[in-house]
Amino acid sequence: MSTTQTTGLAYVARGVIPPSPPPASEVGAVRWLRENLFSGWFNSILTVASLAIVAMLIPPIVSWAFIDSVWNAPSLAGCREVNPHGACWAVINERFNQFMFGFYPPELYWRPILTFVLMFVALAPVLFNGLPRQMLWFSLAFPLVAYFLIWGGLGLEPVESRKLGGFLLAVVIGVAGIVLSLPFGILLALGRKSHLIFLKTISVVFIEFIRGVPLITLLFVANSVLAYFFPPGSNLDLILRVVIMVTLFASAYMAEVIRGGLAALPQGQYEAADALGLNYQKSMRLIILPQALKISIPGIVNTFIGLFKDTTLVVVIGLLDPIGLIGSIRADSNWNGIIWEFYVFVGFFFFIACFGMSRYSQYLERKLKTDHR
Amino acid sequence: MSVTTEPSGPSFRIDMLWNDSRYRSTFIQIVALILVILAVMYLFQNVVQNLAALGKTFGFDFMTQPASYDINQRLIEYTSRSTHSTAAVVGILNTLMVAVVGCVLATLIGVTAGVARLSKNWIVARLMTVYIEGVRNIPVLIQILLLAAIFDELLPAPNAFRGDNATASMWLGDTVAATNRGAYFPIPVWLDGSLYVVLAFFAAICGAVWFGRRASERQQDTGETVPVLPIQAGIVLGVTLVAYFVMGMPIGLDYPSLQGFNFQGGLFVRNSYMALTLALSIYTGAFIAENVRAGIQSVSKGQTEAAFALGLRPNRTMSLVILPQALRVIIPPLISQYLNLTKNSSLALLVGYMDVTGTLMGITLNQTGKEFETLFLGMAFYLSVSLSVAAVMNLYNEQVKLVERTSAVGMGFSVLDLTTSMTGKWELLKKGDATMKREYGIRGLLNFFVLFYAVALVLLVNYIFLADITEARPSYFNWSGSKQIATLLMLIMVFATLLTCLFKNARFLDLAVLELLVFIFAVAVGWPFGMLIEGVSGPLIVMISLAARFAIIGYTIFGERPNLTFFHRVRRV
Repeated sequence: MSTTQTTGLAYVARGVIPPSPPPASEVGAVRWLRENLFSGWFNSILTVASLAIVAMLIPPIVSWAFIDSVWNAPSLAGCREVNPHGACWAVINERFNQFMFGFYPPELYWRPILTFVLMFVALAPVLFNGLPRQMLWFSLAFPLVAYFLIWGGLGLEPVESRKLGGFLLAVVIGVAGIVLSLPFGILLALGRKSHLIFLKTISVVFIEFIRGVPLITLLFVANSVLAYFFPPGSNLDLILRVVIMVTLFASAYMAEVIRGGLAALPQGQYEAADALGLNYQKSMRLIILPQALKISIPGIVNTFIGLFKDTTLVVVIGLLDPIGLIGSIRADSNWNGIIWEFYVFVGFFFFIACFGMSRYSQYLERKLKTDHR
Repeated sequence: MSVTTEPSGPSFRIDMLWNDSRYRSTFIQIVALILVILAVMYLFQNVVQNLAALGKTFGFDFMTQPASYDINQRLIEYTSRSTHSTAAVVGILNTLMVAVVGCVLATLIGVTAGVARLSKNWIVARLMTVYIEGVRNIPVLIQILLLAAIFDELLPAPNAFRGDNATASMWLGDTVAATNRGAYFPIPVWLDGSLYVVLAFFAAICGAVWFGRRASERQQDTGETVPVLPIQAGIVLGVTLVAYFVMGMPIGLDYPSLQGFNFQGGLFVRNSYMALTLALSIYTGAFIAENVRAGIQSVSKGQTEAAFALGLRPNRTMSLVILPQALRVIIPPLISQYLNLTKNSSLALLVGYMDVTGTLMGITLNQTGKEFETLFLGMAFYLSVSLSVAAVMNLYNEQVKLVERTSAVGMGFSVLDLTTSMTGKWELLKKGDATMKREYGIRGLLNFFVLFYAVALVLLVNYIFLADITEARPSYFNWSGSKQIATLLMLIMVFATLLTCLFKNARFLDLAVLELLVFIFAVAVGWPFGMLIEGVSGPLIVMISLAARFAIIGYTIFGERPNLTFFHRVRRV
């Protein structure tokens, strides 16, 4: 048979058949729904149950918090007059400054705000390599600057410690604890990894002791016992005592984070430093610590998040942090009887701060990981 | 040919102390030691001066004085005339009650949420992400206060249940009443003969366990399988129900009922306890969920694919391949979350639940003004919980860590080493269960070991803390020094030995021997063993305990080697 004959046959296809569209259940939204929400009876039940929960919870919460809520009223009774079913955000509106600064003198609000802004300037050279190295000097000086800005002195009008409150107090205690605990944490971590048995024992005992007791007991110590350890007649401010104990608390956790960073460095780095003939101090300062601290930054941020949340505990020794302020605002007859708005507001504020920081630390973790491949 | 000579350097110079590596470490440590001693002396001197200025003394005698305050939630007998030490024990038990219940709840919540977050179901995974991220980023204190407020404000008052047109009603067929004071649950009532039902229940559980082990032994030998779970359930349910009906239904339920202005009967759980436990579980559960997710994701996908290639079904893959490997990653952070929960339970103070922070470090501190002593005792409690849990965790980690070809066993001193040369058996003994027979059924001698030390521990704790303190039997703080030391040592040793026989550990024998020595010491100082069990004479208890201890040690050395583990399954050799 020749080829000319075969071309004339009727049952040989002449062209390519166009592909038919996929079945309707395998494309687009339907496929997505089938795969992600209804892939079997168990998943379907779960989906329906979850949707029911969402439908049950969201509308009342939205209408309470947004649709029926009252933003401007002189008192709780005023709120209830406008809309008895909604949230009374008027109290937050009126007491917002108190939640932020406690009883800090209003005409001096610029000082904590400036401190807060300067804190980011001080942080920038630590977190971004592109900035000029000279800025690190400012980072070093920042704690002193912050102290004088917040408490006054050096020509600034002094402010008493007990006027500090609200989120200002939480941030002060949290940041002071973390910043001051960094050097202690590094020393403790080095001590725990050291071959010197005495230093190692001290470090381990300290770290395990602090990590073994709740922060609340350390705050009790700050409140009632710590003053005994100082020479007679020295009158330490309560906030200072709290900062001391919080620093001790944070340095134990910091030490564990940095120890993790030290352990994560390849052994070759230590050996290379030795091979170069560097002594212990130089090898630590030039080779090991810069790398170990860089790896530890996400852990340090996580420690800070934990500590920042834990600053709420200072309410047990009578400091007016945001939760302590709730009680004092409720004592005002205008706002007596408000419950949920306070918790929602304070919780939301902490959530924004902590969630933002944890996202940032996750981003850092990813960024630092690729560097070390 | 070059000749190396010892450098005939100058003799000792002072700068060699910090430049020469031969002297440096010693020098630094001596300097550090001196500094630490100076610092401690300075602080101590300050404390002494400050206390003297205030006219305060240091001592624990206040612990035996009447506490004269009430605690509304207690697991043991307590009145306002009880001593401060009893109040502290009430607080400790309350803390432990929150911790234990909270840990169980948190594990349930956390495992569910962690698995659900990995679910292929889009909406479930998103919901769990919202829960985990939301709860993790809000201080636990706010969550506790919020939950307490929800219970207090949104639940009806008891009198709302009253009358014909009551605005509130009980739940679950009129058995549970949730009020703004607390919840009332039905409580079992034990009538005559209920003991036999309970015994039958435990016997049935033993039987079910025995059956399970027989079944797995059979499967190992012959490959035949039987439906284990239904049969086990049948054994337990059947035996218990038969005993229940034969004894004439001796166990009933006492339901709460509204009488007057309040509910009577049933089990009353205060809202402060429920809010605290629930909030802590939800908070810790979010962290556990992240650990669980990380653990499951740490098992590489190849393992799942290999299991599927072998023909395992998804749930068998999960239980036999993924979970055993994931647990290695999950357990250590899980334990530290348990510790966090226990430490966070000290926030009970803020919702009015009297845990150890509220009693010992709260009211007792304020009443007696003994800041040092109360804070010391409170911290010692939390520390001992943390350290013993950490010890258990280390044992577990040692057990599950990947064993390389050479297994490093027992570093440091061991009494076993003293006799190593006598017989090779010691070496095998130390190497753990590599060549040991797997124990099937409940005849494992280990069960007896565990039981013995557990009973000893319970008796001791009961005697020291809980038994009635009368004139004839003063409290711990008034005992003679040797008796106090003997008691403390016995407590620690019994606890440590119990832990080591629960977990596979080469040092079990060492601890058992040490424990025996402590026991002999306690007998020597005249410890009142007659007080441990009412109605049994002291010498008899001593004889039985001694015999049991010798039997355990003797069996461990000479007998068929026991498989010193509850949690670790070994290949049958």
